[in-house]
Amino acid sequence: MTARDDVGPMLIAFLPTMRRFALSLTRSVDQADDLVQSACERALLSAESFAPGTRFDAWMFRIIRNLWIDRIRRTKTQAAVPVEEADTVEGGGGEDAAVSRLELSDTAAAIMRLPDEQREVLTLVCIEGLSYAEAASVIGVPVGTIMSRLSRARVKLAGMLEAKGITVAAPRSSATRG
Amino acid sequence: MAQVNGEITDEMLMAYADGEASPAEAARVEAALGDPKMEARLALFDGTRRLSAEAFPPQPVPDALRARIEAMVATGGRPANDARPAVETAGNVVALRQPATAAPRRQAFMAMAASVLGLAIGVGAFFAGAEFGSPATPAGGPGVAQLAGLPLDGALAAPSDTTTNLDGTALRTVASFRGAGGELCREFAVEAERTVSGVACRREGAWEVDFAVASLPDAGGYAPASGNEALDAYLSGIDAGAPLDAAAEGEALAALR
Repeated sequence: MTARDDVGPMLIAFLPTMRRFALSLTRSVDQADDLVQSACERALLSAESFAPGTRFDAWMFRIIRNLWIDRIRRTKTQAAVPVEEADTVEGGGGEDAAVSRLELSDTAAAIMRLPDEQREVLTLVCIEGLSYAEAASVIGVPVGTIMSRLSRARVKLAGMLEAKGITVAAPRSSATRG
Repeated sequence: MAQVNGEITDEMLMAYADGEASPAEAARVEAALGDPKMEARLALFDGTRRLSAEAFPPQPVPDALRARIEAMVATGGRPANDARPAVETAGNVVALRQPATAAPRRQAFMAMAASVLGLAIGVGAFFAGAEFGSPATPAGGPGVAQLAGLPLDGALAAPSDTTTNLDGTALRTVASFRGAGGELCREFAVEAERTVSGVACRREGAWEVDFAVASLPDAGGYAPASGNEALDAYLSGIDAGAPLDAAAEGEALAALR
């Protein structure tokens, strides 16, 4: 079994995750899908460098991110195409359904408006569920940098959402933390 | 770092909320719970985490993309309808699948690039292995021939995203990376009538242009988001390292002087 045999099926299984991360970088669905395709090609060619048993999504995020950085540098402009926001429900459905759908799309839109460095670390940790250390290794910065960007991202996001009347503060669960 | 009280920072609270605090830090946070400001801050970190995760549920993958990736996996690294020769890996060495008469690696890449150019770009050429300062005989058309005779030495030592004017032709450094042998390589773009994208690597005190490709001038001024396929194929094929960040690049360029 070659390294490619391991990586190939994982690529298919992780497509939704890869698309989501690519979308956070490109803020354009078309560019995200294009980036994912190129990253898959690169992943198959570099399959030997994936250590089985380690976190495949983190490995792919690094590939996707490096490709994107190179593309930005070549074109010198960042993708400025706005992501289509989910349509808000007008009439029909309950009030709760409309509000919760509104909340989701407003949050998504607010996240997309965060500065790139903050959006990137928020995506990796809070959306993709990487640890601080894993995120640090994807981006290639110290954990302290991750933490300062992440806390600023969340404070800023909270401000943006509160300004739209969206309640951010959640009562703490009784599950043990720390 | 914002401080809620004298000792406990936002980052400590966030780490605690995310389950990333050390036992000592967690103890300090817990000892201070009950302070309404801290509780509010913890709630902010919990809430933003929850809302972010909910904002982007996994989406269904478009059929066309899935099909292309599945086809790519089946052929081992190239899209099924791509006529480029497939690339095989053996350990860390990337070699082209080629007939019994093994060609030197660079010539093999020239062949690959030529077929990619034929498919993806239509016009263009490449020239590889020419050292600067020596009269080069480019294999290519007018686009790539622009490189010959340009004093690239100084321009290639500039940090990435620097544009140097060379006698009316602009050269922009794009990125730095390490080649398979650890050599410092620069990706660059020369803008004149055509855009020539290239890779030059530093060996034995001189820059060698390993790869160059000219793109079709585009009437609509559209910069394809998919980037430069020939260049991508080349970088994949030579096992190029990740782009160096500003600090690492600065050190590498300083070492040239």
